[in-house]
Parts: sequence; structure tokens; C-alpha cells
Amino acid sequence: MTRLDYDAWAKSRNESSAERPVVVGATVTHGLALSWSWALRVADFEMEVQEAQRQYLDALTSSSGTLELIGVSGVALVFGVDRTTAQVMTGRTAFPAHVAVVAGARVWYRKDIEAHHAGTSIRRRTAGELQSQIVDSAEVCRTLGLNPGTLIAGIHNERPWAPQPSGSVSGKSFWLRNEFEQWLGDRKLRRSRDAKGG
Amino acid sequence: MAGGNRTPREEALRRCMELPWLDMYEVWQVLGSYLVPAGARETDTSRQLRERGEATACLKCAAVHLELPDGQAPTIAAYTRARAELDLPLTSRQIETRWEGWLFAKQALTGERSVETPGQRSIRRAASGRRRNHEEYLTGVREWL
Repeated sequence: MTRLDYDAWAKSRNESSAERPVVVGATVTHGLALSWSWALRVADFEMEVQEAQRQYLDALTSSSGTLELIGVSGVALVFGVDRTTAQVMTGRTAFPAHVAVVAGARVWYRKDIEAHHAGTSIRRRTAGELQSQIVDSAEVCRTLGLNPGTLIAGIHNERPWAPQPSGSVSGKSFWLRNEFEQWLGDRKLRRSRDAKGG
Repeated sequence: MAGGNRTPREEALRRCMELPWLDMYEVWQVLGSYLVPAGARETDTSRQLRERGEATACLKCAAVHLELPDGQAPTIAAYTRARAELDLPLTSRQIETRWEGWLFAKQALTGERSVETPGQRSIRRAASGRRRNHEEYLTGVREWL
């Protein structure tokens, strides 16, 4: 039931059938502004697309932790448009400023986007005003001398040498700087204790 | 979406899909005869449509014979009686089988619209110019599931 399975079926179906071609999985997720698993639930009549989008937006927001950040996918969900349209919208001058860039992806406070959508006034922000508080995986790798694959595996397997992210936004993990620095300090302490003990 | 935004093909499909089943079937037949050279192999879809068309034609003969008013189709019992009198080729059971239910056969004859399946709705919306509707994205996924 993966997107790859569907794509293989769609390719074969479009090649062998004279009927109207079906779109590939990426177009489905892009157009509905949903992840594949949520799109499947809608396709299976488990829920309406609007309900899935609402729940998915909540899930995206909560995965970013206390900051309640969203990326372009979240913007698409708030405005009820596809991701391409959302991407275009975010480039307009009247659009709220992004507060940080996480692993190359711009992110916004959800409340700013919702207020902009509702047409209510929002606090004026400087682009990247949250950047100094955010550490992305590239910086973590540089600081710890790890390659990205090792870091991902370490996080996944909950290794003590890999700090658990504070959250994720647009599918990119991030760490709050104060939490990451706290973790570095604890690690230093652990290491010196281990050295003394050894 | 406003009709003006549709292409001529989308507009034609939209109007065609609003027709009663018998008219849609006739459009299918005319276009099929026009586009496909005589003697081409019959596909499963065209066979099924032809069989349904034959079943509806029998039902129509019975309705005319029974002098039913427009918009009314015979019951199974009335059809069976008319069939014996007219020597129609299909039994009521055969009609039911071809239409997967007497009700659908009756709706096809009377022009009453039956409830669309989700798949039909997706196809109609995608083909008739309702662009970027979520149904269009899901047509393939639903076919695949």
C-alpha cells in the first residue's frame, strides 16, 4: 500500500489502457496537500478530505513542538490550496515573513498564517527572527562530527550519542538551540565522569 | 467552475453525462460506429453496454405493448406477461442479470438518474472540466485500492 506500489500500478495502467490516465502518487499528495497515508484514508472513504486536512494540519503542528511551526504544506492546508499554489502565495510581499529556514525549508508560525488567512492583523516580523534559536541537522552533524545518515540512524535507534530532535517541520528535524546546548553540556559531563570512572 | 472555462470537449462530455441512459447509449453507439471501422473486436465494456442496450430495448417493447405512460416501466410480472405475448428474446432474469438489478433496468428505460458510484462521480467530475477537484486526484487511487 505504499506510494511506490501505487506508482508502479499507475505506470502500468497508463501504458496499457486507453482510458484517461491516472495521476501519480506525488501529484495526489501534492494536490490534496496530504501525506500518502492520509490521502489513502480519504480515498478509502474513511473520512472527507476537509477532515483529513484539518487533522493532518494539527498533526504537522504538534510535530513541531511548542513553537507550532508549519512549512509550505501547512500553508497549503490553512488556505485549502495545493502545495504549488501555496508556494506561490508565500512569495508574495504581503505574505507573513517566515521565522526560520530549517534544512532549506522556510517555516512560519501557524498562528501568523491563520491570522493572515482570516484577514486579521498580525505582529510584524523580521524574516528569520527565530533562526538563532533553531539548529538543523546539518549543524548538529557539523558539531558532533557525524554524517547525516549516521545521525538519522542514531535518532531512530535512540542512541545516547544522538540528540533527539525538539520537533520536525516540513519533514525536517530541528533542535532548539538551548536544548541542544544543554544536551552537549550533559554529554561533556557524562564523558568526564566516564573518564574518571575508567 | 463556470461553463466558460471548459474546453469544448469538457462541455460536450458534461452535457452528454447529463442525458438519460438510453440517450447516452445512443451517443456511444453513434460515436463508436463513426470512430471504429466495422468488424473491430468487441471489448468487454462494449459487449456489456450492448447487452444492456438489448435488455433495455426488450423492456421498452414491453412498455409500449402494455401501453404504459412515458416515464413508467413494467414490473417483472407485467414484463413476463408481455414477453410471452411478443416473444421477446430475454427473460426478466436475464434483464436483471445484465443490469445487476431490475431497478437499474427500469431507471435506464425511464431516464431516471440512478445514484452515481464514487468512481462514476470521480470520472464525471474529472472529464467535465471540474479542475483540481480532490476527486480527480483520487480517481486512480480508488481504482487501485
